[in-house]
Amino acid sequence: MGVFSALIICLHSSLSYSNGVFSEFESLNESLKISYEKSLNKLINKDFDISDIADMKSVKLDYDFINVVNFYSASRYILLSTYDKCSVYDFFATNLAKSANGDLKYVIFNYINKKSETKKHVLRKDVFLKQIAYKQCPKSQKLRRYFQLKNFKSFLKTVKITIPKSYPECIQDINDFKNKPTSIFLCSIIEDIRKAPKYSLRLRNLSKLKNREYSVLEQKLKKTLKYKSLFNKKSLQYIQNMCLQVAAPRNYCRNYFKVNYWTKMLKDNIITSSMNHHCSPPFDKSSNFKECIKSLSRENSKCLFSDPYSLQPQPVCSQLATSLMNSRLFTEYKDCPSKSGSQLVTQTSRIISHINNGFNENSDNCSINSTYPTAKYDKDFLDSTVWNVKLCYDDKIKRKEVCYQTLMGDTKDADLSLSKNVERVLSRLRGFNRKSNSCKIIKESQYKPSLLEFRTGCYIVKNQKKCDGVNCDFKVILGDIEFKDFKLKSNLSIDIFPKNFKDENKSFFKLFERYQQKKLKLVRNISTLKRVFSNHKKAIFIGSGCAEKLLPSFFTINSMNQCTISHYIVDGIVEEDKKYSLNVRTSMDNIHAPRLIPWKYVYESLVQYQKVHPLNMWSFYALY
Amino acid sequence: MLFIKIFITILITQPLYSQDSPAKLATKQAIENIRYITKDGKFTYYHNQSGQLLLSSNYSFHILDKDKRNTQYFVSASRAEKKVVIEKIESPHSNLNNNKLNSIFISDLGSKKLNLIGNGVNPKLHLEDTWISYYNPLKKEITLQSLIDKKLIKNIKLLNSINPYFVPAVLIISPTDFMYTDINKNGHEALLSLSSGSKSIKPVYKSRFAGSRINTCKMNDKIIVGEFPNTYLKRTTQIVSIEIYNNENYKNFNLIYSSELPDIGNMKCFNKSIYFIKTYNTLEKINFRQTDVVKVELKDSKLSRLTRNKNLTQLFVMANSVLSPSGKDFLVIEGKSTIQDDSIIQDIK
Repeated sequence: MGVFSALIICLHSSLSYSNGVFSEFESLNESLKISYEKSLNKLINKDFDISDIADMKSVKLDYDFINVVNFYSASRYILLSTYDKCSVYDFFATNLAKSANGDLKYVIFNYINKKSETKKHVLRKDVFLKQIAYKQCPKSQKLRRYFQLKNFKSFLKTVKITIPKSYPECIQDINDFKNKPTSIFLCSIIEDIRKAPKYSLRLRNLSKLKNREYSVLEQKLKKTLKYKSLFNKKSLQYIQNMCLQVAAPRNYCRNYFKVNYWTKMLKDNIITSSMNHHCSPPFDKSSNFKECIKSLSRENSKCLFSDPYSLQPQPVCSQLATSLMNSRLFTEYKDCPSKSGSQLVTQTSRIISHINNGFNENSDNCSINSTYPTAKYDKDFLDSTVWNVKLCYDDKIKRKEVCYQTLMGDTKDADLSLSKNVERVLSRLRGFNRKSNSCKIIKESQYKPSLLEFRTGCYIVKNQKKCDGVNCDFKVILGDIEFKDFKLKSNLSIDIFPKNFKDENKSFFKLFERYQQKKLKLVRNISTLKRVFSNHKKAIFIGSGCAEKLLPSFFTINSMNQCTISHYIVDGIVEEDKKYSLNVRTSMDNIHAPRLIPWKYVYESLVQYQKVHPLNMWSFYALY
Repeated sequence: MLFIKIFITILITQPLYSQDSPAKLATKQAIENIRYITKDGKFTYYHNQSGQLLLSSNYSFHILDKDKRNTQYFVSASRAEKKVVIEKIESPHSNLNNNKLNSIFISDLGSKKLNLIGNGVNPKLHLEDTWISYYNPLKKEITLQSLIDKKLIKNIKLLNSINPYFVPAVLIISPTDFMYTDINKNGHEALLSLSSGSKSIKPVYKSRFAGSRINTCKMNDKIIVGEFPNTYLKRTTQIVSIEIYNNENYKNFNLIYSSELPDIGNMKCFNKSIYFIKTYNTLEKINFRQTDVVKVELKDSKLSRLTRNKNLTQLFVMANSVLSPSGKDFLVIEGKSTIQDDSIIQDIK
């Protein structure tokens, strides 16, 4: 009994305040029961003809009757039925609605008769629903059918099971559940499943001689077990959690996230790219992946240095666990910021991947993961005007230079693949047969010209030390001879935020708005950030600031107005003692190593950057 | 632009040594454009959004360099203030290449002429402005170059293979003795010493904890080394002084300061004191540090808190002042300034 019951206690004038709370509660219970039964008995014996109701829409539930139902039903389920009249009828249709005598059997209501008099009457619940409620709310009747045993299996397939990755996401999931009209029916089934052990115990103790009660209970148990068999373990646990915690989401989510990220993911049998990043082979002899993940909870320093291609040291494991728990950015891929060749490309690719909930190129080549989303976005939406990394040759017939946009490796998208573009050039200049031959990308260390296999065919030999996502030193070897008639032109210039009014519309900031129908909202304070964060489940925050202010332990100021520009994404908030830190991934940080950075540092980094920005622009926006 | 009042005067509205609430640096020109003001206040280096670096003096100004729109310039000088060193960053907003090298220029103080020295980052003047050092992140190489004898040039390759964004600190002790920081494969940062005559590298100070950051500066015949933890691993901060001479293998050092809390550091030596950002309180769960500027006297290790609850994080020395950026302002933490001199001086050379 929750808030509604408490309200009734407060409002009930007949109570004496000299008694203790428990005795007051008992006496309230007793007095409600007596008055309900009296009212019920009086009404049941009255004559009633449904045709006497002048207008079905005029039928309203009796106020005292609602109080009784509120008092005797679990408050968490009342919460699921408070948004309109139909939701109350849905609630009545389940076994969750209770009265003073247990399960709700009768419904007391008021109506206006044909003589325009207000009357009160009672009907059996099923009759009331059929003859009155479903006339008012025809969709409720349809909705109820989904939960009949024969239809339930197909309905259950439509229930989306989400595992919250952060506290706000957890709260949001429960609130979403609360607002769905189907939830009350799901909870009714869950409640029966929870009671199943009690039903079977009661059956065991019940004499078969009490034939009617026995058979009713037996049927109920059978039905409940059939419902249960339709759930898998994960969905049953998920819906049960939702039903039980719908009235206290904060407590539930707080406890849920008290658990360490590493052990929690293991417990839930989830393996994320972040876990792979911090525990990648080779493992010690006595260790394996699971043991390694478990050790991250014990050995805080184990997460400090796990990536030579990003800003080091990374946060300690406990802080990473907090950050990853509160993270919502799409991160299911490998990345290596220092190999992308440009912090701006790393940043735009991360944003594009998040907006599209991934990309169809999750390569083992981490620099491709950081460049492909931007290059593909340019190709698809921007008419290939931004990705200015090109493989060029002089076409002597056309008397002009011909260029192909390219990445520094191979992707599923042939137009952007390095080997496919080299093949295109070779086919134009050397008559290379692209249908029967192909070029292979290899490392300099793999190229052994003395071996027979390298005497024929086409090889693109990369100098790994001088190769990143936007520039690369490579040779093309065709049939043992180096082919040099091409040029790699790399002149990438990307604006995330506009730097002048003329080219404002070419900035990614505006492009996301135009082509992805995303909303951008200026964020100047923590209140706006918190509000947008909780209202928009997929919202992330993009910012540009000075690294000296954002990460003062890493970057030192040596001269006046020095600013090392750093782009970052914020995707989480952690609060303690009314102070806030944000989950920040700079474009120097590995995507799996977010940092908790106090809001004040983030704010100061933005203030400093505003001072050096050509338009004095405030560069912190929510994107959703 | 002509109507802009060119010369800059620092107006300090409160006494410089006012405890807890340092004065704000007030300038006649937009403070965000200023890059360097000399000790006497007669020369000001500033830039504008058109991509120009300018020098102002005597109510007139001169364009020192001009490049693409939005080009940024960082200007610094040593305490000797005979020369200024300029780092030019082209297209800082649209081209953030990880290994981008910037043009490094040197100029005599007040001169209209810039000399291109090389390409790299983090330039610094040494030995009364007779040497310069800068770092090439692409090659992971420090360049040490004499400004008197251009043939005297030395490159030091770092071992660092774990942090692509590491920028080493460099000290030039004499034309033949150098010190610099590097990181080993386990994440330990160290201050190393190298002499021209010898190929061997000697460790001067090795960080006690992986992930700690080393700040260093030189005070007369001593090297000051601060080890500041970068993480919450119950690791302590410490600052030591190490005698440069008569100290075999730098084995002897004096502990000047230590703390159980993770100080931010950003340590600077100024006059006879060491200034740094000290942590007074932490909220570990949210990685929050309550910080202020402190100074430690070298002679007696006495610590003084210079700000209170300001949460400052950075310090730098410019001319005769120690400054700390705070919001849109610069707080004058320490130093007397004679920059109020408005007298007419000789023409810019």
